[in-house]
Order: sequence, then structure tokens, then C-alpha cells
Amino acid sequence: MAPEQRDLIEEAIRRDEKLLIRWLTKKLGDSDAARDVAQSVFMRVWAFAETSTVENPRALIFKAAGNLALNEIKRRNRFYQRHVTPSESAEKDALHNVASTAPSPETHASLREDVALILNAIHALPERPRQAFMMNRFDGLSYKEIAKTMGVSESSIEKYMIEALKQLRNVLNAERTKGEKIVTFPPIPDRRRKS
Amino acid sequence: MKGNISQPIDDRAARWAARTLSGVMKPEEKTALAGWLEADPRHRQAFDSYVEITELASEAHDVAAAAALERELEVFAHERSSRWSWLVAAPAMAASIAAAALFFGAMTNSQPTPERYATARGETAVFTLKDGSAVSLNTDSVLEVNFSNEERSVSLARGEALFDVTRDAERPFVVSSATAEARVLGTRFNVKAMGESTIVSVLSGVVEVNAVKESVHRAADAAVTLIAGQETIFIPDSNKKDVRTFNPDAVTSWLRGKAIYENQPLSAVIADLNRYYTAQFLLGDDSLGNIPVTGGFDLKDQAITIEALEIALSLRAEKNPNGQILLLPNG
Repeated sequence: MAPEQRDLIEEAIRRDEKLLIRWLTKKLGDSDAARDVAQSVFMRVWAFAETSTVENPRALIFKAAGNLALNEIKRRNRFYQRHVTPSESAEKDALHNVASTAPSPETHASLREDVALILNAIHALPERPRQAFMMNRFDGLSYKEIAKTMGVSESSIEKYMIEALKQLRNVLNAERTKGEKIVTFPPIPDRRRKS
Repeated sequence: MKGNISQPIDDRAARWAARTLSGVMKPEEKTALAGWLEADPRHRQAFDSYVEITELASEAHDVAAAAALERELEVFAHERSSRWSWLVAAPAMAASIAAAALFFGAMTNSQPTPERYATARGETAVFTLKDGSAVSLNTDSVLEVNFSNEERSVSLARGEALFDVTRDAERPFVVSSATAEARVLGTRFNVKAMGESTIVSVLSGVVEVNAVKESVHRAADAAVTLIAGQETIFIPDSNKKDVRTFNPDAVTSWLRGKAIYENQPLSAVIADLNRYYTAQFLLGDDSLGNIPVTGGFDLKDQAITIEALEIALSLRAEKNPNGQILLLPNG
């Protein structure tokens, strides 16, 4: 690593270390875990800088922090899922809310095209199938738990899931068929997933 | 291809997908699903399209949630920087500058003589170097400072020191001990030289640690890069360069007149404590050396430390004619 590069990264880590730990502590409610995650963030940034040129280390630190904080939140969510019944733990509810941080449609614009397409499709689902799908897929709740929350039977949840799956899959298929009809010359390589 | 799948097959595939996502499939249901998937390639194809959308949805949600967290952190940083910018500024040593440092510098003009700082057993000192960097020197330590235009070189001849280094991109700050050399631009870290081994613990920033070339036969790639929260121990003739995390409170406890140990064998604790006291501890029985010790000790008052060892570990302390303190099993 070039000395200027090392310099830049050192400076950024030094400057943002406390801030990051404070934010992670607030997010995770646990200063030890916050320290661990901050540590991983810096290791990841450092490893990245070993092989690539970093122009804005702070942006890289924040990006890594977003990803690793999410991993930790998900990991904890699964942990609480298994060990705590939903009504018992306020802590789990807090995690639940964080994990459901579903961005609004206007923020989708800044994300990758395929990501935005799917998020918009989820947003466009009818209300109950959308709720059931998001609680099951993003919050890791069982059909039984969702049924309790929504005040319906488990078999209703299964019907909502079928409806959500079908509609989402059809949006994806439609998008792909649309792509296939576009003829370009010279042909551009297809980077989409094979169906 | 998609057009070839009939509505009934697709309906069935969606029902199976929803069953799978319930996470509570019975064994006989799993067998039935496997049979259905085997029966016809179109079954598999339809089912896979639902597996795929499920995975894509999770990926998309993760990307979006991570981006949302990233933005949240940006906002947090922005709020902090306007309100708390003075807190983010480089940490200054809170302790007052002690007068205990000895100064032998610049006796002659012909040769630059290194400044030399030393502490007696049981004594600590804090001082500021010419570049504004702060150094805290622990018990029984000797530090030589030799600044040039190219490099800020300090050498820890003995003992332990905590450095709070002022940033100077033009002149790296290099701390060397008998075995290791730590090179930094600006950061806070602790160096402990115990006999031939050296422990470097980084409290903030990044430090590159190298073996001192003459001291050990280490490969040229023996450099270790440590970031805040990591430490490494250098031992001569050892090629191990373990990087581990440490408890910052324990490593810097000496600044507060305490020694903190976490699950250390008594033999190591005694060796460490003996740095501070004139009356040296001695184990009366070798088998005592393995007793695990966790706890904090007062470095200012040996009597309190002796009492703590006696009570916590069921030991008996006896002063021998040489002035040493012999630790013996109680009863």
C-alpha cells in the first residue's frame, strides 16, 4: 500500500472510530458487540485498501458499517427468534423494527436496478399478502406468529404467501420477457440471471 | 419456456413453495415434495422460479436495508460533527505533566544526544515530546528520544509506555524495543517490553509492527498491521505473529494505578506485578504458578495487593530474610 493511501485510511479510521462505536452501540444496544462490529468494519476497509485504491475512505467505512451492522442485526434477530417468544422481549421488538427497515419507493431510485425492481414489486402487492411476505421473509417470523399478529388463521397466511409469490414471480418474468424483445446491435451480453 | 408450464403445475408449485417457506413441513410432506419434483422436469422448473424470486427478494431487501443503515450513519455523523466536533478532536492526555522525567539532552553541540527519560520502580510519569506527542511511562522504564528531520525515533530500552502520537505525515513516529519496531503517523498505542518479548497494543488508529532486524531471524514479511483494538506479541526466534483483541481497560489500567488481569496464570501475574514493587513476589511452591487469576490490583500500595492475593487465592504471604515476599499455600 502506498504511504499516502495508508495515511488516508489511518486518518479516516482514527477520526470515525468513536463515532462508529457510538452509533453501533445505539443500534445494537450492546457496546461489546458494537466494538466487535467496528473492528470488523476497519478490517474490511483495510483489506480492501490492500488491493484497491480508496479515494474516499469515510464512504467505504460507512458502506461496510451498513452491511456489517445489518449482518449483526439479522444474526441477533435469528438468535432471539429461537430463544425468546415474541411477546416476551422488548429487545426483540426493537430488533424487529430495525430489520424491517424497508426503504420507501423514492429511495429505491438510488439502488441497483434489479434491486429497485423487486422492492417496487413487493410494494405493489396487496396489503395483506405484502405484510405476510415481509414478516416471513425479512423478519423471519413463522406463519403461526404472523397469523397471531394479523389475527387470521395460519392457512390464510399460507394463501397470502402463495398470492405474493405468484405476483412477484410474474413481475420478474414480465420484466425478463420485455428484455428479450429488445433487439440491440451489436448484441450486449446478458448479465441477468438465467431463468 | 415459461409458456410451456400449465396453470395447474404452476399453482401446485406456488403451493409447495409457500409450504416450504412455512419452515414447519412434516417429514411426509418433504417426501411428497421430493417425489413431485422428480416426477416431471416442468415441476422442478416451476418450483425453482419461486425459489429464485424468494432469494432475489431477500437479497434486494438486504441491499436496501444496508443502504438505509448507511444513510442513517451518515445522518448520525452529520449531527455529531455539528454538535460534538470538539470531542472527535485528537485525544489529549488528561494527566498532568509529571516532573519525574530525567533529562540528559544536549550536553554537547557536536553530536545530537538522545533525550533520556526514566522512571523508578513503582513510579509513573507523563511528558510531552517536542512534536507535541504525549508519552506515559510506566514503572521501571527507560525511553530514549531521538528526533531527526526524517523520523521521530524513540527507543524503549526497558518497561512500558503509552504513546499518544501527534500526526506528522512527513516524519513517521517509530518506537523500537529490543525485538519489535512500531511505525505510525499518528495514533495511540501501548508498548510493553518484558525481557525479550514485546507486546504492542493499539488503542486508536493503525500501527505497523516489524521485528527489529538484528534481534530475530524473521522473514521480511514479518510485518503485522494492527488496527484499534488489536495487539500482537513479539517473541525472539518465534515466527508466530498472532494478532488478538485485547481489553483496553486492562491494558491502560496502569495509567490509573491499577493492574487488571483476566484469567492469567499466577506466575505471569507475579512477573508483571514485580515490575512495580521493590519487595519482589516469589512463589513458595511451583504448583501455585498455574492458579488462574482474574481481578484488579492496587499498584500504589503493595500491602493491599498482598492482602488481595491472600484472600482471593487462599494464599499466605511471608517476608523472607532477603526482603522478598514468599507466597505459600494456605494451610
